[in-house]
Amino acid sequence: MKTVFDSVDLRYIDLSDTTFKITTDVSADNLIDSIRNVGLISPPTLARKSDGGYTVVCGFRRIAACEFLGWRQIDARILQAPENEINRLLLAIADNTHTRPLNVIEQAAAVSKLAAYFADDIALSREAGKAGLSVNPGLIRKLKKIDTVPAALKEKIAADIISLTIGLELSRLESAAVMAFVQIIEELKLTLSHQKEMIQRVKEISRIKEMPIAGIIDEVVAGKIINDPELDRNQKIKKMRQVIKQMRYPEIVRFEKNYSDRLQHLQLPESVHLVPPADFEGNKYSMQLNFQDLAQFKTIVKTLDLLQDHPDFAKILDKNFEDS
Amino acid sequence: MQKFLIKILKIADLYIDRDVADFPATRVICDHLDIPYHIIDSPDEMYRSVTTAVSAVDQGKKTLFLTRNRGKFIRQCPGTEYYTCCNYMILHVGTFCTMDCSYCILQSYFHPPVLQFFVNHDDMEDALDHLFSQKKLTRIGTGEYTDSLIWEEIYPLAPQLIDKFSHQSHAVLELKTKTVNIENILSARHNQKTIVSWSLNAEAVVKSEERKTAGIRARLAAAAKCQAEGYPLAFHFDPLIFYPGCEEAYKNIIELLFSYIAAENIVWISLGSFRFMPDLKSIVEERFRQSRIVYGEFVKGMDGKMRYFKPLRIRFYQTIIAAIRQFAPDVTLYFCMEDDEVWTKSMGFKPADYGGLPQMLDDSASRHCHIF
Ligand code: SF4
Repeated sequence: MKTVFDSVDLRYIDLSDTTFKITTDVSADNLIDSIRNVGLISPPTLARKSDGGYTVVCGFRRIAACEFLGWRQIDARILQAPENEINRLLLAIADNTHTRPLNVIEQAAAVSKLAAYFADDIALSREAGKAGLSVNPGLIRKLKKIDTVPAALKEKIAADIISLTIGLELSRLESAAVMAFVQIIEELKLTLSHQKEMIQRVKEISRIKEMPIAGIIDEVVAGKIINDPELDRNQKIKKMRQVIKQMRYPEIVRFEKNYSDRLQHLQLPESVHLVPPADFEGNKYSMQLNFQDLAQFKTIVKTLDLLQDHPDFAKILDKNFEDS
Repeated sequence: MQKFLIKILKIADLYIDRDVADFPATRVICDHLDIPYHIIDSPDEMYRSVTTAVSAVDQGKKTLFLTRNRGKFIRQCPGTEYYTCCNYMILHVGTFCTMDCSYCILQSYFHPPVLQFFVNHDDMEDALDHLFSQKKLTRIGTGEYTDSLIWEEIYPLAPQLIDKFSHQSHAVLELKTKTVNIENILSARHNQKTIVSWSLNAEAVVKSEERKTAGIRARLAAAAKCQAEGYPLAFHFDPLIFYPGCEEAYKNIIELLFSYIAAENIVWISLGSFRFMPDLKSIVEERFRQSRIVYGEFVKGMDGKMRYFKPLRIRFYQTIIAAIRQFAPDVTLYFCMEDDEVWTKSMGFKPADYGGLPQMLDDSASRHCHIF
């Protein structure tokens, strides 16, 4: 790729033209000091526009830093025609990948820009690889989707507050719902599995009750739980999960509550632990007995003996649905 | 004389396996459909056209492939170890369906989903002859991988099978359907060796979840016509869908059923609550945007399928069984894929008390269909 060095008037560089912009980092703060102290070590790469101005191919932040420092002229590499756009784009991508790993949103931007030139994801993957961007066709499909999400969500993904998986999950929702979820994830620092559980269940509640997602979150979760000063983070998470489960699975929650009430009525000592079948689907209950000596064992046996005729034990085994 | 029925089977693309291009059934179907067709050496091209369509399922429902059944015509119904299975046999005459039920397992069962009709009927007859020669009481049906009567619109398969079964006394054929395509079979000589059966559901479920199927009253009217011709009948309340008010809705259908059909003509009634492999969920969400059926209170069953929470199933079954028993105290009722706990708590007994589920159904088939 042929370039010539030249000194360029900053006024002629069009920073609003983001055709080749990959970076999501808008701040030039850390570059300003370095350029002030040692000068511009690596000149940006520019392409000449038909109106006489310049498009930035590489070096958006460097140019912004120089502008901030009040420079009027900067040294730049000027691409020589006839260089086609695809090569310029690959150069822009390589310029970024060679200095640092790209975040998900930068990868998504790079892939979406490349997609304009490659209809086939396999060819796109191959060319991106040459520019140091390693993306397989499966990932390309996901990144294309991510590139279409609202800017506010992109910011959170770029900052690693929202993962790619959750970003994709949220990508199909209206923006009020997205931001409501993002707020909870950010405030409660939910684990990935809790995020997935929350999103899936709230989405389903919204369908069942025909209520907007943002409304459910605002009224039920955010208002009552997130802003409750009495609760610490873990308590908030626990309560939020309970409330959402109660809304999504009211009958199961009712059954489980009856089960635990009945279990309490049995007054089992700590040494006796009753384990129901998973989700009450199988039909085998088990009991774990902990004892150290014969005396303890005899006490347990007496407790078990009493269970035989305990009405709540019978109801437990019967998987009885009546409220206790 | 072949009679063809009102069309729900709308074929856009017809593919014919070169191997079967000259088979009599192929010729009948081509003459009847009278649309351009592609004779192909390999199904790859057809599969590509289905899998690359915007909706493979929708495309599959319009694509018919006439081919040879290269596997077994007679198969064991795939049960699972944990839940009680009825030892049913499948007569594999074709795949997929032109009707469109949201809960249909076939949407995710075939890769890709495509209508296939097997035309090597000589092989099918041989398989049946072999089955009959074993002189073993067998219940066999064509309605597991497809609907038993959709094919009547393009080929009179049912009368052919009914006639075949009428000449023996060991096996009973079940034709299971949601259509009213009975014209071809009404006058057939069945000798009670064919059970015609309908899947029934609450009217609201039929309306919202069972696209292109016949309405409940139409199904029952068709069943009544078959009853008048002496056919043994069966009914399947499967999948039962739980929603607010569903108990009343199902009770109404039960009442309706017995206003059309005499209990003594029913060989069996099955009950099965909605269950599905997890990958069906996204298909339903995608293809049936208005459907809410995948948002019930499900847990993962012992077979990996999502099932309604067991205590809910038991409570619901108790209501439905009581409603059926009111009209038909002696009818053979059974669960499709439930365990002994559900049986005992809902029916009051478990299959083993009567020799096992296969035995219970065999006994009922013997009584109604005179097989031994
Ligand atoms: S009628 Fe049966 S086979 Fe056809 S779509 Fe409905 S469930 Fe599937």
